[in-house]
Amino acid sequence: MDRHLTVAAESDDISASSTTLNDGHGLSSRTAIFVWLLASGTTVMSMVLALIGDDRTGAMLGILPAMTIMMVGSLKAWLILRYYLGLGPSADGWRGLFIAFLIVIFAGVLAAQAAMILMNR
Amino acid sequence: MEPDQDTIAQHDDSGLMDHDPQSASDAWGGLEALPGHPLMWVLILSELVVFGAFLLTFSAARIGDPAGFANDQLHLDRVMGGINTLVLLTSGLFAVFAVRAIKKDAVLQCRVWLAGTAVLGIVFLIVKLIEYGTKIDAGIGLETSTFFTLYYLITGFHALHVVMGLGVLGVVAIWPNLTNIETGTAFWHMIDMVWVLVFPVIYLLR
Repeated sequence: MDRHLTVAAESDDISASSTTLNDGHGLSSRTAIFVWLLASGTTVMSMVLALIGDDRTGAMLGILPAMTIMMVGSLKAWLILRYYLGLGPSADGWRGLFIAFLIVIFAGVLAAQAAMILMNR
Repeated sequence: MEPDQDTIAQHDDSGLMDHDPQSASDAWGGLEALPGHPLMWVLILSELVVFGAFLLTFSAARIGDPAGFANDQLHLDRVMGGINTLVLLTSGLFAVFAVRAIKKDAVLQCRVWLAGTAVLGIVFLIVKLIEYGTKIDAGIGLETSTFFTLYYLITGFHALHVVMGLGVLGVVAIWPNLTNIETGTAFWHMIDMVWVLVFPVIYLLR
């Protein structure tokens, strides 16, 4: 695998200087691996936090822990959209549409959590 | 529009092909700037709307029975869900390397990365089947509760997309040109992205 990564890294300059429409998707190996590390790291972190705080009683999470969990999920989704799917260089309108999709899910899930917390008081 | 020499040149003998900027721009209103076939992005957008609606429905249903949902969620294995997230994230990285390989005309290397992506997709399905098996052995089925109806529906529909994604990867591996590989891997990344949203909503939030 190392050889593959080395070869890919060496071709970064070639990708960057090419003039195809898909230049924006000429993601460098370093960036791709960094995105993977960040997404994987936050996944492991959220798993560990969930297991540490897992009292198996099913107690409802407060709004801040819920917001943190959803922010981590949304961040991973955005990283995939921006870097792996290659949304970065797209027109503002399309990028806005995809961001709006993430915001609607984020806000909708948190609104439900907030409603449950309020009803539980 | 008459195809010009540059457009013709893009369809070379190597099988590599790129979009025609002018005609694509006319036809797809900006989607042509994205990797892969523009129609795949229309599909991706519609899939995101469907899964978004599922997740919002799940959250709305939780409001009606928070205690029941929290109790049912205790039967889910968060470690398995987390492992599957890591598996899909890694498969996404492999898919990126497949695109990079085809951009260098390294068809064999591209197929190796695609195979790695597909193997991880199969690992995801195996982990999911183990999870389903554990639930079914415990007598937890589709009609056990609203939580599990939605759990099976959302994760099952997602798993079905993984199966479809494996088929798409197989097809583009047989005909590996740039547009095909970008289109196939875009579908795979969409599956990956949906899962990173499904995992916290179903497995972690309570």
